[in-house]
Amino acid sequence: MSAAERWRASPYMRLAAFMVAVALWREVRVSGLAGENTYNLWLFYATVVVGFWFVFGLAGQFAFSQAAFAGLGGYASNWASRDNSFWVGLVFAVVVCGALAALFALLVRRASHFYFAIATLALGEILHLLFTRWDAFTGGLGGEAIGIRPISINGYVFSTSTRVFWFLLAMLGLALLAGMFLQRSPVLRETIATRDHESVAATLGTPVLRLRVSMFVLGSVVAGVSGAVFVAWKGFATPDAFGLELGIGVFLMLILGGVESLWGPVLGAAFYVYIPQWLHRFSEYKDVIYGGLLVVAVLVVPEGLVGIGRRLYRLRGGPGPPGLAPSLQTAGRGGLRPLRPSRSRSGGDPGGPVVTSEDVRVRFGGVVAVDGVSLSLAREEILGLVGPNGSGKSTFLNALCGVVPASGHVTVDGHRVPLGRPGAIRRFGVLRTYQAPQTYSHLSCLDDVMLSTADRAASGMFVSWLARPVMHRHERERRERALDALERVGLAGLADASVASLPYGQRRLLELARAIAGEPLVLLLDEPSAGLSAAETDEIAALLRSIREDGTALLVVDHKIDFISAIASRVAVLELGALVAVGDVSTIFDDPRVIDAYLGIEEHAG
Amino acid sequence: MPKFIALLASGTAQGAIVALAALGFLLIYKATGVVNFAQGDLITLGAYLAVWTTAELGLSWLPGYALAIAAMFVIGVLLERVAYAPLRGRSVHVVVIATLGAALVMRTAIGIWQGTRPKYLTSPVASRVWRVAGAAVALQRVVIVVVTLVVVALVLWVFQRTAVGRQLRAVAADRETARLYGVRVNRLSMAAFGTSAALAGLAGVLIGPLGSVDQNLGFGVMLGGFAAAILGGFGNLIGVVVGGFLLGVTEQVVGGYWVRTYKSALPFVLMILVIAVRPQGLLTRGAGERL
Repeated sequence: MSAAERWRASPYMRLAAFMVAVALWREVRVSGLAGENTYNLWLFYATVVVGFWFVFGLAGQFAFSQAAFAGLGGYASNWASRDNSFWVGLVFAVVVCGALAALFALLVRRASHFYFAIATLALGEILHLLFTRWDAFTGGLGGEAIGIRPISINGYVFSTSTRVFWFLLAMLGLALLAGMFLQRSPVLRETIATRDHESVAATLGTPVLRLRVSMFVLGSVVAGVSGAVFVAWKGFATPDAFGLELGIGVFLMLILGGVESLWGPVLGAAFYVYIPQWLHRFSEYKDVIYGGLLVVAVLVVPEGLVGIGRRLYRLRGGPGPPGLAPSLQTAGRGGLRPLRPSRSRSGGDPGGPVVTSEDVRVRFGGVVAVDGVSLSLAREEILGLVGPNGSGKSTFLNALCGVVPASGHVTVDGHRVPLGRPGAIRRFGVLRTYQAPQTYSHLSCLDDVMLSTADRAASGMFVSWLARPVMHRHERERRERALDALERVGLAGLADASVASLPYGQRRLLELARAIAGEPLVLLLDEPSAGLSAAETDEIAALLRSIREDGTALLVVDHKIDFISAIASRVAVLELGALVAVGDVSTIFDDPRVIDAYLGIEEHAG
Repeated sequence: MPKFIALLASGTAQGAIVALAALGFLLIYKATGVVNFAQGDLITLGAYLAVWTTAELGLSWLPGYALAIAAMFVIGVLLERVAYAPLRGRSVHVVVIATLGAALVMRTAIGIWQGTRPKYLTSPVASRVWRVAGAAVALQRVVIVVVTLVVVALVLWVFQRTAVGRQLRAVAADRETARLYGVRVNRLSMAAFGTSAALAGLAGVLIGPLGSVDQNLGFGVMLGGFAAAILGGFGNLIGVVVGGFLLGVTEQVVGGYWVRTYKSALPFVLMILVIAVRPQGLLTRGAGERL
């Protein structure tokens, strides 16, 4: 691709073209005050819904509070700009909306799905009540504020709809640009990972709570800014302008437009504003049609208008959609580098064990799933953990990773690891794989592998907006490490492929590549050979040995005795949650207690 | 003291209505794992149907109410067929959006059918009061509490003691296993939607006479029901009923003396605090994991 072609295909170019087209269209086709107002309304709605796209489309959080935050922004800005300029009001609106959204998201951090939806519905009701009752804040009886200060820049007052148009256009452009920057940053893959499987994302080191809260805050602040501009344009505010109708409208616009694309909100808002104009004879039935469309849309075209457009485009021979996760180019790079296991920390005894667990216990109600397991893992050792089904092997791994509540004492490299917090152990250089590979079907293989990176520098939201060169530099390094890892497991050719297109065995390898790319000090593997053929099992065994040679200690849970014998130097045997034996492979598998407890089946099976 | 009695009475009645609403959507939640966000509009629709049967068809209250509630059952089954059954197995988000769409259709259809001006529903005990300890308590509120208690007892009995209840509990615990054991999951979810809509209709019929009937009648009740369900621990039927009464009394009694301007926000503040501190609900034991 030439530079010119790449530029033409770039999303920023598309955004610029969109802005120009919107401005030109207004010059040519929009006339009269009513026409201008409708056009402006479209831009306002589109911005509010772009904000909602961050919360719902990207982060998957079911929030009903978007309209209420637009109202809060409007009233807050009006309150603060009464004796000041519009800009003071705008800043105040951002602060108030951001602070409230952050406080709320932290308060209800343990709520998801329905709970979150209901809590945001309640928040919306509380805000609506404040708008109607708190006259000192809203500046009008029952929230009917009038005479709101218009926007002005250096004495130039945006007093007419024509003038405000430019301001609204700039606002929408900025919101879209912010979204595009996020889509081309680590934030995208980490948000998708958090949305699709939070506990897995946490064990990879993704700051899940921070992402969830910041996406909600971002969406709410965008709503607040839109609301501030809206009331400054209109000159008045009423609680009902930000009530239930807009609340449901926001959903309509995003779903009908398309949840998966940043352009969905823009299209959906156009639909919401203009369709009733064309069908004004049916205006009475407007909401019946909308409601019906909502049901039909989720049934038939869950991708919305953007999805329909893409399907048509592909039918006519265009290339497939870029999808939610634009994969990064696999650029040329140097040869293989050996793994660098996580920087050794002070306090660790180089000769001693790298992981110790003392008296780790997990209870589910009255059932003791893990009963006081004390184990230690030496540096550069492969320790096998075997036991019959239900003996607590996976639960033990889950306990170490903080995914299930547990008691006991775990240290990594001499540092105490807090239990019961997913992701805590990741900070000490411990990564894991799962019995059923936990990969992300909405990501590309490369992005999936990059999730585990130990280098989290320059991966936040603000860096993606304000310091893109720094972000790109770190991303390049992360990408190279991820590509190395993919090459080690033999998936280098699939870096840009979608994870969803991978068969089971390759997902297992991908998960392993992801673990390798995290440069672990310790790797916990849950049945790495499950479901694999004999040849694939040998491949995995060789791979695990080479990982150990790079200086990583491995704890391998598995059923296959020959597989464990082939790779492990020591074996631990669990039965009914308790450790029954630990020792060298040869002694353990000859131990009569172990044969009784676990290998006894051999007598029957031959 | 009379003031306190009056507040307590209206709080109890409000709690009863909220509990009834919560019971309605919990039935659906148990049978399908989905929260029906159209529940509030079902309540509104129930009240309007009763207005229609009594004021327009000229039926007396008993057959009028009965017809409205029966019609609600049918509407509930239809709702299941149109907005839920085709989406079974899809993500929770998709189903919730479909129930929102259904809510919007219902709300607008009511507006087209009955207009947007408030209507009034008659009641056999309208404007009669019960004097107790110097306070005058509207008899309608007493009726609400009594009817709710009877219905709650009935639902609990069905849930705990009958075959249908056992199946419902099995489906709530593990849908697939229940199906493998021969539970007719499909029929059960239709029955749950129908019963739930009928309960919503009953709630609408009961609160209608307290004031006027308008398009927003059910929305606030539904929100209260959500709050009650969270307070009691989602899925815990007794907890939800207790939660409903707790909220109603808190709002009326606390709101009657102190934060009067914002008293209708009290249940929501309480609910957000419960989610923050004890997301499993006040009356449910269990670990505080994410819900």
